[in-house]
Amino acid sequence: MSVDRERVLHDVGKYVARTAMNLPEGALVAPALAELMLRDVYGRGDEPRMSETFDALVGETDDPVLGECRDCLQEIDALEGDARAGDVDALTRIATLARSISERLKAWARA
Amino acid sequence: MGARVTHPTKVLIVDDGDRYVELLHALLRDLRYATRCTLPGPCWECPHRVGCELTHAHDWAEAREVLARDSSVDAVLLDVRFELPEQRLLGSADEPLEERQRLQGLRILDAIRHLRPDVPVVLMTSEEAIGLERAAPLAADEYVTLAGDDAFDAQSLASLVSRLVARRRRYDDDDSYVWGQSKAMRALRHGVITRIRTGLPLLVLGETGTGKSALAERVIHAQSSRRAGPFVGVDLAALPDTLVASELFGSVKGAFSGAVDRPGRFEQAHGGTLFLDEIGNLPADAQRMLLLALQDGRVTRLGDTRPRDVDVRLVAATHVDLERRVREGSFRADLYARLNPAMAFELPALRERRADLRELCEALVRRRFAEGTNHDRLAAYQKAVGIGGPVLATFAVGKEDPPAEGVAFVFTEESWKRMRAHPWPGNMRELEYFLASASLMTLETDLDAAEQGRASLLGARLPVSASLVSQLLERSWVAPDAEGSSPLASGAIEPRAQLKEVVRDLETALFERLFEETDGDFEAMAARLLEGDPAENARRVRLRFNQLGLRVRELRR
Repeated sequence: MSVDRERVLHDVGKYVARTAMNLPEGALVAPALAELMLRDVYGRGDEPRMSETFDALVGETDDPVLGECRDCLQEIDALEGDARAGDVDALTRIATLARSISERLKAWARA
Repeated sequence: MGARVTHPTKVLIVDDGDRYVELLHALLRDLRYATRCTLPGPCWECPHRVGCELTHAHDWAEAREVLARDSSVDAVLLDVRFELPEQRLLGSADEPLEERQRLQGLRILDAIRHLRPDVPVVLMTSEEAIGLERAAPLAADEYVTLAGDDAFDAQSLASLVSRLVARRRRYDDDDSYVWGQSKAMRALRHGVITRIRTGLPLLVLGETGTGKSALAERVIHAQSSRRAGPFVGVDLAALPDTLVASELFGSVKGAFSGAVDRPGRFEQAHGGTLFLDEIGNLPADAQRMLLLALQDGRVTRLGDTRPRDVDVRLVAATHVDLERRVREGSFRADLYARLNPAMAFELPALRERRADLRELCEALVRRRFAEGTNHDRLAAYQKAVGIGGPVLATFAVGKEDPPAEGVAFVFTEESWKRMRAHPWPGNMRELEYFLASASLMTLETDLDAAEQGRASLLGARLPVSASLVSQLLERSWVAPDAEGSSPLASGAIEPRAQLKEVVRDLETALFERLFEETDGDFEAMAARLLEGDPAENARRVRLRFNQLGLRVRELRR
């Protein structure tokens, strides 16, 4: 499957960290922003989760950068329960992972 | 116009989704947001905010609705990809749906440009995302910015928006040129600002008196990269044909009788802007020399053999139809091409921008009393009637409140109605002199009363009599026709008992106009009226001027 880099960068790279990139590293996530950040990564209602969007665009891949991004997204999915319960560590970790995905994809798309 | 009130920046977000809008609302609460909702107060305080669809525009139809209703939008944040059904997209149905969705933002940008050309637009994308070919024209547009990586970084975005809005307000607040808010001028402003950056020659078209020279000096030069260099203006209509070449290109001693070593206007404008007004009047020889100068970037003074390098941006203006002149053979086609007619723009006549009349009146009255003798007379009046604070004049209509500072020249509602209906054939120049006459005559009358101890009747409101306004408006301005061949319009004629009285009226009007156009230079007036030596003829012109009952001091006021 050929990967549409522009689309991956736009639909995942930008949107996954839409809220997270506005949060300083390690800072507490305010409740209003937490709600927005969780929506960025888990979707709302029938919206796809970011990991699902990523899988649909990337499919099977040997690309190491995309592999790292997939790992990060899986970790984000695993944190959902704690994050929705308001666990501060889970929320700050999600923000860090989201920013990391965004940075990796930017570098990947421009390589 | 009084002091401007600065307000928080208001943005309109055009995005098919709502997540981005929520994010900005959450993070950037110093901004105001144009919404489709008409309830007061910010969205984040609204009890209906969850799931609300009115917080922004999702497509062009909704954006148009907001922009048409809300004139206070300072900037638009526009997404580029719109995943909407076909019927909600702009563009041809022949184009693949995916492509229309991918670049829908550019279509919407075009539509915004037509509706509100003055509003800065931030495209929430990068050059890479839309492709270099499509990005290149956007880069030349003063009012379009690609946010790139800043799109989702709220603080960077806020900083970007405030820079854009500040730049726009600088244009708006620059008292030296009044753009106004009429549709014609908003479109023109966008066109001018984008062309300034190109550095190419510019051709400004427009009727006499529309302000072509002011636009060239106060906008094109002042906001170009050459603004630190000189601005040199030459009114070719005021120069006898025999002097044009030496004036533009300079001369060396002995080149012709009386010639001295001196640089021409081209050299004087080196590093800056050369403005040639009424270029349609350029004689054939000078056309050839100008063409060579533009082609080579060098000029040779008359009588000299050594060409000199010149780096100027040429801005030319005319009220005649140059294309027609080219077809008739009286203007060189190659020179016309060098004037960059493809990028020409036309200043609208005042009658085509009546929506700006109020703002223009306010600016012109304020400027008229900002310095010099008029300022001193106003200061004397304010002192006589006990008005402290800054010395300044404003324009008011009817029963509007007295000004917080200075004085207001108050026109009656009826006078204002007449002013709005007046055709203003002399355009801005006519308006300027009308306001100067009305305000100065009113001030002198009231200052006289104040100095005679009748100050108790006077105050910060100086009523301008309706009869004075009628008299000034009825004294028709003399407008040339499109080709400038007929200096007097029939509208200038008032019935008189005898024909010689009519002729005298027309002669008076002609002399007044020439006096104004030459800034009271009788030699220049003579050059326009009589063949022969202008210095000798100036005495004859001055004599006739006095015989007509005209007085220099009165006209200079």
